Amino acid sequence: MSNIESPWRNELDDLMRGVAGAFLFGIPFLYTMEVWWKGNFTSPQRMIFALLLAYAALLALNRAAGFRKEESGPWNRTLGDSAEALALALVTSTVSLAVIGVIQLDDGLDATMGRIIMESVPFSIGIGVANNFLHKAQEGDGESSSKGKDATSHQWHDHSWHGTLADAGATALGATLIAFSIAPTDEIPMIAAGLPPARLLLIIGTSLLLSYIIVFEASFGMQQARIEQPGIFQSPITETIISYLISLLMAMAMLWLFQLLRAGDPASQWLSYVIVLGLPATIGGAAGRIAF
Amino acid sequence: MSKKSKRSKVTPRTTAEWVSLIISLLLLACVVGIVVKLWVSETAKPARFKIETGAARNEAGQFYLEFTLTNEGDQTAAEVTVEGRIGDAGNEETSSTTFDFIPGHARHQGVLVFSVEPANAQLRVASYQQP
Repeated sequence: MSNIESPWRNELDDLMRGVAGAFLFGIPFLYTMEVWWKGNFTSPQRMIFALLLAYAALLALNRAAGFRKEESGPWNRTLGDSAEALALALVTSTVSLAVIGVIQLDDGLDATMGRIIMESVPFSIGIGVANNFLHKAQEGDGESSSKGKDATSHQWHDHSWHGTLADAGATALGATLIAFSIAPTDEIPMIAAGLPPARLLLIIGTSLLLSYIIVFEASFGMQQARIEQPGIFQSPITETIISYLISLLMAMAMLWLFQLLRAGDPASQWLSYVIVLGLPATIGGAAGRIAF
Repeated sequence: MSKKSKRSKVTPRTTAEWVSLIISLLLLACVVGIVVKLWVSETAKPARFKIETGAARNEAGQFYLEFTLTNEGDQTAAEVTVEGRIGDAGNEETSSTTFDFIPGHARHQGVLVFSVEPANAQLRVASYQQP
């Protein structure tokens, strides 16, 4: 990790890390319809309270761990960084709700704002945790752990098969963990029902992009090791695509297990359900790969 | 070395950091502004519905009548039941459907199915709940 990165690159890294954290922590709440429903009739006072709550959580997280790789600086820095994180949470929650079709232009302004703001609370906490703790952990033991990684990657060199299998296994495990908790719920049919085919393509694109960001752009510390790890998964693009396919497979297995999909159901239903559940499954798969 | 980089990073924000801070603050100002505007203009008019019927289409002898339901009030209504009625006493046909939620000022579409041509169908909201 070079310290001589351009400031724009640094800023982009922070942004990517925030996006990754928001989805890692926020995805279960995104697929919870009660959160959208309550957003339908949230009074403006409660919306302000929710924003303050998210901001307070960010202040606490940023203050506790220091933001942007340095120890906590002056207070105005913390205030500004927390504001950035909150804005990012609002943007990611808006985009993700729009992608799965939960907010539409036809809905009234207050219902839309309610949903976005309610969803932004867990997203904020995800961003705060990602920026401070996930990133910090990697930097804390910078030298020693990179040595350790060298050793492991040398071992892997002789067994590139192991590398591939380990990645595939980690993806499948992570995807199963997340998909298992979401597959039996009513959100999958509900989201899938409202989606035109073009939207499915958008969800596929979003899944791939998020998986790539979480594993390769978010600087969670494993990137270097990941790129060095041999095996079929070597190139980031290939790894992202294969992991997505594995996640889709696990999503399909979970849907079949919980009988949301049965042998006689139409192909379009199989397709849309699997793609809708594929989004959280891919994020789980990506989390699995950075965790192992 | 780490101390040095630490110190250099506490120094003033870079242009990139300023740009992202300013964009963030603008976005937040928009969101807070909208919420405050909702708060101030909150007259909390109870739900009030307008129904526009569309064209009916014939599918295998059944008539599918599309309609758009608009909540013109400010408050969200839950379990909104729309009832359609055609014909006169003795020879009457009714059909109904229920919407989970219609937030204030939202438009939702629904379909009622009749077995005869619903040219003179009368649609009304029969009931709703205050969530």
